[in-house]
Amino acid sequence: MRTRFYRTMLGSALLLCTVAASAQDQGGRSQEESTKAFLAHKRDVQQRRSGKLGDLADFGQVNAIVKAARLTPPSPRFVTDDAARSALNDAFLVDVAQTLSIYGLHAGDLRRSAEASTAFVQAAAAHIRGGATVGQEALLADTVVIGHVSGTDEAEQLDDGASSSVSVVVDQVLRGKAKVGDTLKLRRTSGKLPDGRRLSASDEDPLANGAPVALLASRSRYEKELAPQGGSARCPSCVVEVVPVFLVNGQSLVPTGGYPTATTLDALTAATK
Amino acid sequence: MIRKSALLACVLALANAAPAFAGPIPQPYYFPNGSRGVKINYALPAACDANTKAAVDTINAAGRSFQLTGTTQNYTSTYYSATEDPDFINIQDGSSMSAIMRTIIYGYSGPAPAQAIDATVYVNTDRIYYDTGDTAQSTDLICGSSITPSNIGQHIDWQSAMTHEMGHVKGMDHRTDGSTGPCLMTTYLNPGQIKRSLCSDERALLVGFYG
Repeated sequence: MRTRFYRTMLGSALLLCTVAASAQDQGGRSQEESTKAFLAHKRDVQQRRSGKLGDLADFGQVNAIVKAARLTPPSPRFVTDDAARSALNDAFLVDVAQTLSIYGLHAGDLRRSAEASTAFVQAAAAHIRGGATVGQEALLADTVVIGHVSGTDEAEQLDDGASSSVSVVVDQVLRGKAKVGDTLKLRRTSGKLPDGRRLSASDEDPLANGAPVALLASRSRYEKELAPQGGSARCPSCVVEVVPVFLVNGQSLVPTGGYPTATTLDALTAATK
Repeated sequence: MIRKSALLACVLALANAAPAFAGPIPQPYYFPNGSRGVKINYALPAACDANTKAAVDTINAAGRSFQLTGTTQNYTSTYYSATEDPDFINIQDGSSMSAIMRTIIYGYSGPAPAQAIDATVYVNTDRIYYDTGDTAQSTDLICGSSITPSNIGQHIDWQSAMTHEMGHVKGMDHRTDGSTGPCLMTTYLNPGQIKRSLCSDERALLVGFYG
């Protein structure tokens, strides 16, 4: 879920005036109402996403493959109603299918073999639920490179919900179309806004110039989710993280941004074969 | 009007500015004196509201010149970006993100600590509504009144994570000393860890700054 961060002061003031009366001091709500609100929000998010997926026939096939995969259904302890659990399961399966499509995976990729199908579906499910291995995250990344940071640009406004680009010069390509010597622009939430003020995201660590990094990134998600309808053409080298960048320290890949799992260069290389 | 507002903001910034705490916890932002309401989005589990309130209370107890108020009185169905609702800190769904929780602060540019204008805490609610219910394996969020080290399993404690995010709201960044122990502002909260209170240097930073 990305929002447009910048509003004019007038726009913000008008928005506040219109929502303030209805949005506050409404008292508590039951867990049933919370679950309904979550499901309603999910429907909105999924509907917005479905308009960005491109080939809907292909998405229909991906959806069918996910449904056939028999993933463990959600079972949160505070939801006891069977209908609510069923609705959560339906929403979860759509999320898994949309995640695969957003990351650029097609029905043909999933049908290559039973093993491939299971691996991709399980990777998307784990990516959403948490607990995905670095190997599973790498399955979703269309761009996996080793490189070094050459700067952070806060001036370029691309109307994609991001506020800065970290430039990464590619030193080694493990997956994707990038070539050694190319510069990828990693789009981030943190940075300067057009009004001169700043956004700071707690899970985006600053990256020093020259820092060696391993990048598990997605061009597909940038094109489909952040800058759809041709907006991505303005920045052919823009990508977004699948997981926060790793700092390379010899063989060790040290996570940033609160990502909990360290790994090694050998393990990442093996995961991208 | 805008010039007057800008001037007032500058005056407030100067009035509140104080030297950053010289320790392992950077303080990139601060909120000026006063209070700010907290709104919880309907989509967040009601079952976790008490833990959210406890997280806010913990942070409020460290430094009183800026307080977060009304945690379990204000609810909203509207989603706000960090730039949109400056009277409230919004806690809302941020599912489809890789982090469990993230705080986005909208603030003035300038040397640290710069004045914050607004903040939004995003909770990855996929990590609780899509929970498998498997206590031994799941790394999903868990909340409630009876979470202990012996029954948390591999879950991630909502209250610990929320207290950490509220530490960000009050201006603290992650610790730079590499500690992974019990302190609130360490970069990582591992599955099974319960870290609901401030370490003495974290409390000293907030009390020193917010009185």
